Amino acid sequence: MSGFSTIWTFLSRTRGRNRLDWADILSYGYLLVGVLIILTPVFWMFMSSLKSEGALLASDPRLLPYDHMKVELEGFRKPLSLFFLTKDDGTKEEVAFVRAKGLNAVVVKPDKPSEPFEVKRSLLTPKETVNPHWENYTDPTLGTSLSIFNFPRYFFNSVFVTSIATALTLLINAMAAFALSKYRFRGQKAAILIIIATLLIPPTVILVPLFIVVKYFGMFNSLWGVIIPGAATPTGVFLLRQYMLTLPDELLEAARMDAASEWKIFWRIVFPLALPAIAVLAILSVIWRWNDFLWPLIVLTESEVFTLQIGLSTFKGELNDNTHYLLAMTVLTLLPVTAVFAFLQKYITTGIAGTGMK
Amino acid sequence: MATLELLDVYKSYGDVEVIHGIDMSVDHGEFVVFVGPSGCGKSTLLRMIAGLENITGGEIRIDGDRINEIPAAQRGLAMVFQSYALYPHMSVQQNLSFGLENLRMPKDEIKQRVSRAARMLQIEQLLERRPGALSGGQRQRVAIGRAVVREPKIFLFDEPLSNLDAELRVKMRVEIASLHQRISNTMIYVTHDQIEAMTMADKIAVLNDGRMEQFGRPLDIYNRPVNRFVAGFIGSPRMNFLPGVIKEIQPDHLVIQLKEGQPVSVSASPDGFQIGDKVDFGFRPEHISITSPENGDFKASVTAVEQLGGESYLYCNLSESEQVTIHMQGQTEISRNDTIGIKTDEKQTHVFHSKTGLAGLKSQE
Repeated sequence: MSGFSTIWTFLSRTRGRNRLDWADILSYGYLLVGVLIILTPVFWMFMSSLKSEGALLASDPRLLPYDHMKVELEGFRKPLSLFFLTKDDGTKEEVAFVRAKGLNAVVVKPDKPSEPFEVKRSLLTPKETVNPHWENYTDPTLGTSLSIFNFPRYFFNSVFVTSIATALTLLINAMAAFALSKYRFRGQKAAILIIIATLLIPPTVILVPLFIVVKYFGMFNSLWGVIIPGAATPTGVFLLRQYMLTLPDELLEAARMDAASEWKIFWRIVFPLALPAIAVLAILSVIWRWNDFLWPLIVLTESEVFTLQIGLSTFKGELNDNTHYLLAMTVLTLLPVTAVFAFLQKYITTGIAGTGMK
Repeated sequence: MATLELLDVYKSYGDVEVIHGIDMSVDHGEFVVFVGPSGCGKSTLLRMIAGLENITGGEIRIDGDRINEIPAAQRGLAMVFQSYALYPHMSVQQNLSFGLENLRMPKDEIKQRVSRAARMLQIEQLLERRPGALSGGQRQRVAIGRAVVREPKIFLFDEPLSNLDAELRVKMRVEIASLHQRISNTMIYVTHDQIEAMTMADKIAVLNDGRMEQFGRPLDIYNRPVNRFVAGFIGSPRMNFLPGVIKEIQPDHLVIQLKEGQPVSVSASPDGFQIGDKVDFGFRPEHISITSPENGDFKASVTAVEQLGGESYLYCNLSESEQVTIHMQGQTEISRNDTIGIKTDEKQTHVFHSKTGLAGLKSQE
């Protein structure tokens, strides 16, 4: 109850006085548009992921997962599709479709399977029912689908790459940021400039040289080949450095007087105090790594080392079109990042609010 | 035992020299206060002793050993910062034990030392709290506690009381002084507040513009300032200065003719003074007596009177836009626009060269 009422108080906040004024209406309208733009494709994907393969192939635009109903009748080996036959007087009758015959169709009434008759195909409308296809989710994850998609393996690989790479990124970037923000040395400004300037280089340009380096280091077809090249990010260094600049130097000096080594100062003082910024970088890194496609696609060619994103791409082949699985697995793939964001986002706001020194 | 020696210490940032050669020697157990106006280099000097600033020239010795090249972490000193600089993400307990952990001290001893310091500073009930949940005075105690647990050779204080309100400042001043008596370590204390300097110090070093103007016991500095800067800086309200000319030189005193009034005399060594030299005649607001206008050395008209009950301040104008402050014990009948006579006592007056600011030395008594 209280949870609900706090949500309501949050959602019904106004600027200043209690009544909605035009600024409130504009901001709520703007937020609503933003929410719709972001959530509509996700929602649509989720709804489509429950549809049957047939409905997806037919590009059925309806939101709900409709299925063409079928019935098993005596004397027919396969189940027959059910249709409504519109009669001359406008009433409808249920019939089962046996086979096509020119513009006409041979149908039977379900209660009299032994008496086929012909009707115009244009008079038939399919009988449908809403039927969510959860097997789109269960087949690939439980290994019952015919595809080579190995969800547990890919999931493990993705989690491994994301967690190790994020941990490495945080450590390396935080150390670089510490040095660049708290030490005075010759070439400090130049170092920062060069690091930031690497943002100007499009990743596609260094793709081939990077690939060659990775290959010579023997990290081709290894998850480390995905993890290590991207461990240090200029964005991360910049973000953390800017935050660490705000930490008072006196704290570091106090630690120095307390006989702390420089590593201890970093690990026990600077790192914990930079946590708000580090959480922001952690969120970004998890999202980058989890969604990363191009680089893993180049480094990883064997299915044992595929990450989820590469695995997803295997659904679409020359000879197959597993859109139903693809959509379902994409939805599953979204869940972990969403969860990570939900847990860490409070750090972003605390980071902004600041803690205050004195 | 810890002695501290500064031998011709220099400091410059690039081309800018901020400390111009300071010599000083501090004995074990002495409480030395660096005092001076802001920007005089007192904090820089302290940070050089701490090891937080490198030393451009000269030598600093602790117990006779040169420490110029030893990093701050290994000098075995402890410092209390102006902003306290408590680690905000650690509890008070962790703040106190952090330094000891770094020295790889056994856990039992850390615990003992922390609880002993906490008891001494009355912060036992705060040990589990974070600095953010403490008041200014409590943070100050924790910051001092962090230095005390280290049992350092020398304590360094960098304006530790300047963030406290007046009442708390007086209280902490007494506490730091009694702390010094209890543990009798060498302490170096930086402040711009001369009351702190006078009340706490065994010895005061008056610094100005990167130079040490005078180094001595508080009352010596008060009674026998070596130059005009020290005379004006120590003592509150500050010393009055009136321009004059040397009229007569005697072996043990000088006679000075002010712009008006009777000649006044100063008991000081005549070394370096000649008849006709332009000088500043100085006397403290508390060292005069008020007489009728005809009997004083000179006349002054009162422009403002401040009655504080136990004491009174008179602000007076001499004829030529020179101003004089007078401090009297008790309450006074004198009111605004009265004309009074001011009489000085040659034992308690000072003379300074106008050009160099150097004082005529007063004899030790």
